[in-house]
Amino acid sequence: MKTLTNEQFSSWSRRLRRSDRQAYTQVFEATYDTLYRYAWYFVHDEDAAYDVLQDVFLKLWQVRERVDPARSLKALLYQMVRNTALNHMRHAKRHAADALDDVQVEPASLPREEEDFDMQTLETHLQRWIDELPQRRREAFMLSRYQGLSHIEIAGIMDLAPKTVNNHIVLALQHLRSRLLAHQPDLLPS
Amino acid sequence: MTSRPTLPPDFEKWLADHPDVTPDDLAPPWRLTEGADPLCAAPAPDPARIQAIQATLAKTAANGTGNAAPRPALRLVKRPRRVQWMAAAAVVVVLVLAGIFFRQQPLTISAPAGEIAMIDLPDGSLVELQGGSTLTYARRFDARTRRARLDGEAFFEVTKAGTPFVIETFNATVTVLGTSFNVRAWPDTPEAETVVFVETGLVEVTTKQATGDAIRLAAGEAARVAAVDDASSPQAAAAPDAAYLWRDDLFFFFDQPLGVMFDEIEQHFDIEIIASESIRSQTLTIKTDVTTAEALIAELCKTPKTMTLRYRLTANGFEIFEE
Repeated sequence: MKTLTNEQFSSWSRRLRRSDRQAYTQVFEATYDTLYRYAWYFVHDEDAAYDVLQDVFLKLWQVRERVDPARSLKALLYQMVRNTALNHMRHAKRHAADALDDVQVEPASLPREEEDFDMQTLETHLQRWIDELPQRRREAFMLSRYQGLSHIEIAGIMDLAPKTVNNHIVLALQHLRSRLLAHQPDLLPS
Repeated sequence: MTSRPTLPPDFEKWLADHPDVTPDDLAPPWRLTEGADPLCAAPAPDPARIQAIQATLAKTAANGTGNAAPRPALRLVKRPRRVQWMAAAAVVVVLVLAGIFFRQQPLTISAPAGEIAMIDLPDGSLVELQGGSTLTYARRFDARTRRARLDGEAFFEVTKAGTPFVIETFNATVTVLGTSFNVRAWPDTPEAETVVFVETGLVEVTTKQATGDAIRLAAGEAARVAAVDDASSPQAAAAPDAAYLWRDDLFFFFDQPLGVMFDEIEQHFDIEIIASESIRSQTLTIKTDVTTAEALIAELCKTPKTMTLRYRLTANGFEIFEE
């Protein structure tokens, strides 16, 4: 979803409301990769991620006439994937369903600690330090840093107060900063 | 995947509110994490599976209009719930609670004056503790027993865990299930009262003695427990003058300059509103059910106070002008 502008999403949103099938196809083609990965981020299961992706788009077509043109279609897609994925996980649990927040989102595999620092290793360390973040904080940071979503949009997607989103992202950066200070202080301005 | 090398403008307001943190603290980790997107660790989707999904979607879109009966449970346009707290700057001083209330040695966290302490509670809740405030809770704090004592002021984001989260102040008890809200309770000040302000979710407030009725607060509502009359119920407080709500399509401003409302609409809908300073400085109280930016602006131009205002669409939003 890197090269997609707000205008592009607005255009698709308006066209969807008019049942424009070409727009529907285009949205899928442009976003399936990121949304699939976002679904996988929760469910950690490829089959489940495909199910989530399909469910989200089926639902999108179903409610296309009610999509609010004043609201970001991009943020809506993330919200739908998130909700669908979490629902999926809830139903997949064998024992009694706990609150949504009890569902653990496992981070990707953690790389080993290494002594030597170069840019590639730095990135490995950063990935590990990001994985250290508590679940919601990691997600808020990721949505902001890599998906180009505003704090308000993230608040809508994750069902948090915007202030909390701010706090999470700043705390994430502070965590990373303290890790950098401990391991590679010359990367930070003195 | 989208990636921005510099701190986005979202941070400006936060940095302004937290002078103890500078952009230099946050910019380097922001910049350095450019290539560390967790989603890159996810597997790439298999083209064959994607094609299968596309085929299914094409079939669905082709079958008539595909309009299923509307499902009322689906809230696609759920707006972020948000209340702006423009009350006077946080006041002063605090007591440290004696450990009588908890069976074990309690944990006490204090925020130094002028700073804000962020606390991750064991159940995943997040507390933003204002300067000069103290939060105390049992070490055994977990999803089954969630009690804490607050002296001062804090903003809480409480995770849903099936058991109530209980906050005690010097004269009131606040019970929540899963929500975000603000509590002000400075015991040793002249105003000595507990004020609870709810941003999202549902909160119940009683006096400490639990005499009188409990009061239930929903998003955007507030309650006040005065120190003097312990036997009475908490009083529903008027929302602070600058409160506004995005809640189930309700837009509410109480005696606010239009400029503040325009800023909020701009941010919420990601549009731009052009209006002169004299228009922006006009104040208004308005409460309306609207779902789109244009409908909202039309409403703003319709009140007795703003009858002479007109609006027109621009490339990026709207322009508001005097007739």
